[in-house]
Amino acid sequence: MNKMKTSKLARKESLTGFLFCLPSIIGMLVFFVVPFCLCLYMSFTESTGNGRFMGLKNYAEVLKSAAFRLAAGNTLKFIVIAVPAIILVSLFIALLLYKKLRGYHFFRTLFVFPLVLPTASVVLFFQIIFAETGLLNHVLEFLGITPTEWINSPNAFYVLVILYIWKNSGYNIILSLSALNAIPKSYYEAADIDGASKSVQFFKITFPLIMPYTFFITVISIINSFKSFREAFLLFGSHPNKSIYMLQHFMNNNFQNLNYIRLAVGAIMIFIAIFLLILIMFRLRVKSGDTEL
Amino acid sequence: MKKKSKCIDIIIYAVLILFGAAALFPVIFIAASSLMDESEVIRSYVVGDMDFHIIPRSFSLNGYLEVFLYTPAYLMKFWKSMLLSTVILAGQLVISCLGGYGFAKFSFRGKNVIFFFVIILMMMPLQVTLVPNYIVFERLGLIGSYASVILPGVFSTFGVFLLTQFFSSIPNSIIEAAKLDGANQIQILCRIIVPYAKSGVASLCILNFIDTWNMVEQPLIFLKDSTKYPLSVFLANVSRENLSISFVCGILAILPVFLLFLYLKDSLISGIENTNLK
Amino acid sequence: MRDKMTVAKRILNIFTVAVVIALLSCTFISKYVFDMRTPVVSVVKPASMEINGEMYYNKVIPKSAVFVGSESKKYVYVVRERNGLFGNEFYLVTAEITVNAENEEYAVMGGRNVSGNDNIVIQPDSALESTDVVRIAAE
Repeated sequence: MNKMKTSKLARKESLTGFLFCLPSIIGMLVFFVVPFCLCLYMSFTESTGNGRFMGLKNYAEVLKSAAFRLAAGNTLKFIVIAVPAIILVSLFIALLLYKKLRGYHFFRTLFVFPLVLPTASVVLFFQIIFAETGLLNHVLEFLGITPTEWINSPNAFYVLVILYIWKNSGYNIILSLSALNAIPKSYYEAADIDGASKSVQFFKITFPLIMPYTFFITVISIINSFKSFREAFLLFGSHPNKSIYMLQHFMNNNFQNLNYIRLAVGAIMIFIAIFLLILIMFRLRVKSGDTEL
Repeated sequence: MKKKSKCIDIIIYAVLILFGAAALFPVIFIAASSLMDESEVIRSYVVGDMDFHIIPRSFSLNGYLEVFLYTPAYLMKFWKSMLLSTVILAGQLVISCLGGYGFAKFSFRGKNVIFFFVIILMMMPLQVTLVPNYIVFERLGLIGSYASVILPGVFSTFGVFLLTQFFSSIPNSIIEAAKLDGANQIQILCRIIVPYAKSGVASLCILNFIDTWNMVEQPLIFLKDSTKYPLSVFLANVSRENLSISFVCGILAILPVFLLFLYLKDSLISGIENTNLK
Repeated sequence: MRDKMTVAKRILNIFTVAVVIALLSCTFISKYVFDMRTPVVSVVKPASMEINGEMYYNKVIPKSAVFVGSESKKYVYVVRERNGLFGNEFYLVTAEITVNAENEEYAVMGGRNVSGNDNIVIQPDSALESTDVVRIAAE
C-alpha cells in the first residue's frame, strides 16, 4: 500500500515538474525545433519552391559555391587564430589576477566591462583608430613603421581579431579565474616545500589541472567568435574585404536577396558543425572524469 | 626576497593597468568626443587627416542639447528600446524561473534529453536560429512587427539553463521544510527559490538586458521599417549622418547598461561563472 | 571599508535616480521645445486658373508666397520631404522663380525650379530660412 502511495506521489511530482518546464518546452518547440525541422525539410527541396525533393543536390551546390567556400575558410581561419589568441591573453591576465593583489575585484570588473557595451557605440572609436589617417597609423609613423590601410584591406582580419579579443576577454578571464581558483592551494604549497620553481609549478600543476576547463572555454570562445559578425558588420558593412567575408556574412547576404534555400542549407551546415563540436566537448569532458550533468 | 616579489607586484600592476586602460579607453574617448563642438568633430574626424585627441579643444554641450532637449525623437527611441528590452526580460524571467525550477528540482521522463536540447539551442550562433525563425514568421505574417523580435527573445533557452544551474544549488531541505509547512509549488517558487537564488535571477536580468539592448542582427532582419529599429541599430545609422551627434547617442545608449552594470556587476560575474558546464 | 561601500552605493543610487528623472523630464521638455523651435507653415500646391483672361495650368500660386530676395530676384519656399533619421521630415528649399503674370491675389510662376506638384509655402515668416525643418499645418 505504501509503495503505491509513494509512486503516485512520485508521479504527481514528476508531472508538476513537467508542467513547470512546459512553457519553456513549448516555446522551444514552437520557435526553434519545429522551424528548424521546417528548415531542414526546405534545404532538401528545389529552389523554385515547388517542393520537389532534391536530395543532397542543394548541399552540393552550396558547397561548390565560391562564396560559401570563402566564407567557411575565413570563419575557420578566424576561429583558428582568434580563439587561441584570446585564450592565451585571458589566461595571462587571469594568472596576473590570480595573486589576488589589492585591486582584484576592481580589475576583474573592469575587464568584464567591454562585454556590456553596445557595439555600435564602440565601433565609432575603432573606425577612428583604424582609419587610414587614424591613430594607429599615426603611432606607426611615429615609430618609423610605414602605415598601412587597415579597414579596406586584408589587414581588416586582424582588426576583427583585436576587436574580438577586446570585447570577449573579460568573459574568458572570469572563466579562467574560476578554473584557476578550483585548484587547491595545498598542491602549490606541497610543491613549494618540495622546492619546485614557479615555472615548474605552472607546467606541472596549473596547466594539467585546468585542462578540462580549457576545453569548455575553447568551445565557448568558438561560439562567441560567431558573434563577432556584429562588429564586422557595423565596422565594414555587408560586403567587406575578402579576408573577413565569413559564414555570417554569407547568411546575411542571402537574407537580403531572400534566397531561402541557400539560407536553410547554410544554417543546417553551421548547425551540424557546432553540434559536432559540442558533442566532442561532451565526450572529452566525460573522458576526463568529471561528473555527469 | 621580499623586494623581488614587490618588484613583480609592481610589474603586474602596470600590466593590469595597461590592459584595464585599453578596456576603458573607447568609452572615455566617446564621452570626451561627445563634449566637443560640432565643427571640431568635423575637422578632426570627418575631413582629411584625422586628428586624434582626447581632451576636447572646444568644450560645448551642443550635442547634448540637440539630443536631449531639441529633438524629442532621440529620447522617444530610447524609451521604446527600453520598453522592448524590458518586455523581453520580463517574459524571459517568468519562463526561465518556471523552467529552471522544473529542470533543477524535479525529474520526469525525458528530462535529460530535453535539457540536452536546451544546451544545444543555447549554444547555437544566432545565424542558425535566425533562419528558421524568419521562415516561420514570414509564413505567419509577423515579419515587421515587434512580436518577431520579442518572441524568440522571450523563449530563448539561455535563461532556463542559467537558472537551472543556480536553482540546483539550493539545498533540498529548505524545500522539504516548506512543503511540510503546507506550501504548494507555486508558493515554494515565489517565496523560497527566487529569493534564495536572488543573485542568479539578477544575473539573468543583466545578461538578458544586455543581450536585448545591444541586439543588432535580429531587428535588422525581422523589422523592415527603419523607424522601428531599436537604439542599438539606430546608432549605426546616426554615425553615418552626423558624427558629433552619434557620440552623444553613443553615450545615451551606454548609459542604461552602464548603470545596470554598476548595480549588478557581481551578479553578472557569478552568472558567467555559472554557465560553466564544468 | 564598510562605510566606503555604503557611501558609494548611496552615490550610485542618487545618480541613477537623477539620471532617470533627467531623462524623463528631458523627454517631455524636448517635445515642448521642438514644437516651439520648429515653425509651422501652411502650404498650397500650384493651381490652374484663369489670370487676366489666360488659362495657366499648375502654375498659379497666391501672391503671398512670393518674396523678394537678394538682387531683387523673386523666390518661393518649397517644402520637400526627405527620409531623415526618424522617418520622413519636411524641409524648406528656396527656389527662384519668375513671375510671368499676376493679378491682385495670384501670381503665375515660371522657371524650372518649381514643379506643378510641389508644396509652396504661403505667407512665409521672415525668419524662415532654407533647409529649415518645418511642420506642415493641418488643413
